[in-house]
Amino acid sequence: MDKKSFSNIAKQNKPKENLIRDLLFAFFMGGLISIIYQGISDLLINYCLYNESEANMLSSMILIIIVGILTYFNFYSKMGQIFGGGLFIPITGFANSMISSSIEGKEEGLILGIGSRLFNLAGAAITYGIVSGTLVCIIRTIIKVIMKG
Amino acid sequence: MNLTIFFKETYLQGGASVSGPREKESEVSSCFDYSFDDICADEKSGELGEIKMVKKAISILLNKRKDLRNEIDLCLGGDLLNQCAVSNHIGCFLPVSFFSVYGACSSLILGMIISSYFVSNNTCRNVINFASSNYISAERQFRYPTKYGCQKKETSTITSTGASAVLIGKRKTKIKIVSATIGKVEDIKWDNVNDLGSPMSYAAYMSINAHLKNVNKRLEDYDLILTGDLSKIGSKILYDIFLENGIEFNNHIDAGSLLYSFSNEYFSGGSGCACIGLVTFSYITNKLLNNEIQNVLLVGTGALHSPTLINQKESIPVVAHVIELERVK
Repeated sequence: MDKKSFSNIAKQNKPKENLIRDLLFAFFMGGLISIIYQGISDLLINYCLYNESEANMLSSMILIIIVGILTYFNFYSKMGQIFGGGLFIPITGFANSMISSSIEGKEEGLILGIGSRLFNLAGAAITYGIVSGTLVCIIRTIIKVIMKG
Repeated sequence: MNLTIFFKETYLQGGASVSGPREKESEVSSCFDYSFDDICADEKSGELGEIKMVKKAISILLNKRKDLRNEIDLCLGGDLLNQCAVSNHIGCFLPVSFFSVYGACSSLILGMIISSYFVSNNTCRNVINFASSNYISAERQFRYPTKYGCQKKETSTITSTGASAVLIGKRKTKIKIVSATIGKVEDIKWDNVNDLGSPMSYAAYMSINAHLKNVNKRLEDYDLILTGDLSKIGSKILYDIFLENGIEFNNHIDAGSLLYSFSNEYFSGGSGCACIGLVTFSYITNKLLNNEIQNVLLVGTGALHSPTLINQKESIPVVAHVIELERVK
């Protein structure tokens, strides 16, 4: 048995991924989250008399709290298995990555456990968020200077 | 070339298996000695729960063989965590010499081979060997947090929770440890961490073949071949490899797949050190004692997966160790 014929057999046995189903589930879940977000935001503007930017901030916070509760009770991970990217890409995925890793660190104490583990998975998103923000700002400034000159 | 050892007068004195809540639902659970209802065994963390489970397994084992309590010379154990953390903590509680072994999911079989060797050449009278794994502590070290909502692949396995302990000694019992083959580490340039069953089937095939060659037997001579955690996909691949060589591989059970066969929620089956131990020291030993099977080949398979080296774009080496048990006539 050489390694090449093994990899042929392994390839034949590889289960096929149901890409279309996964994509559709993710698409509709992502859309649903956006609808919920918009609904909360509209409610806040129309009934609680917040202005638009306040309402946007508050609705993200409400979503994050809901995700926190769902994560703690193991519900979010089960939903994540079905809806994949639909839950992963919106702000809910970011919140879940932070909450899930900090829950795991709670036995190691407030600083080395919760404090440092909070950004275990989310750290990369924050780092490259800052880096890309800085780069866009530099480019924007350069373009502005050129346009004026 | 694989090394095969033939043991002289080495017997299985007894075994104990302690499982977690998920494994309690499996079809072999009636054979377990004890099952915890909480995955952390009512402790604060997965690691502490794992320690409690191993302690439970060892105490059940020592209660089963009270007569040998004072004749134990050595203890060895293994688990999946860094620095073999759980095993070494268990070592503190034991009044005898102790060392830990690491062979990923093949730790139990590796430990059994070393124990049998110590007993066979009369260095020790009796040796305790144990292995354990826990879903919470292992997922955290090798994969993502358990509450993280990412999509798992169909090929991925789930770490089994449980501990098993076995006592190997010179005193004559019904189950004899005949021979063992130490596996060669194989590197097939595999880097898919979501499918560890497939590469392990290659190692299992190589080690089974080497064992058969060295002991001069055929596959049909065994009533049962139990692999550790090849998963459903790895088992299928192993079957296909043997079929390609013209052998029908029907006397095979995969411990990980058997443990989780009751539900599709667990993807491709179980993995971890606990799998083969849970099935062997309940289901398999019962079958041997009840004269349903005469001999069995235990194949401990391990994916020597290091998250650090995977991030540095290296591959996952695999290994499989084989040990042969026989019913004394």
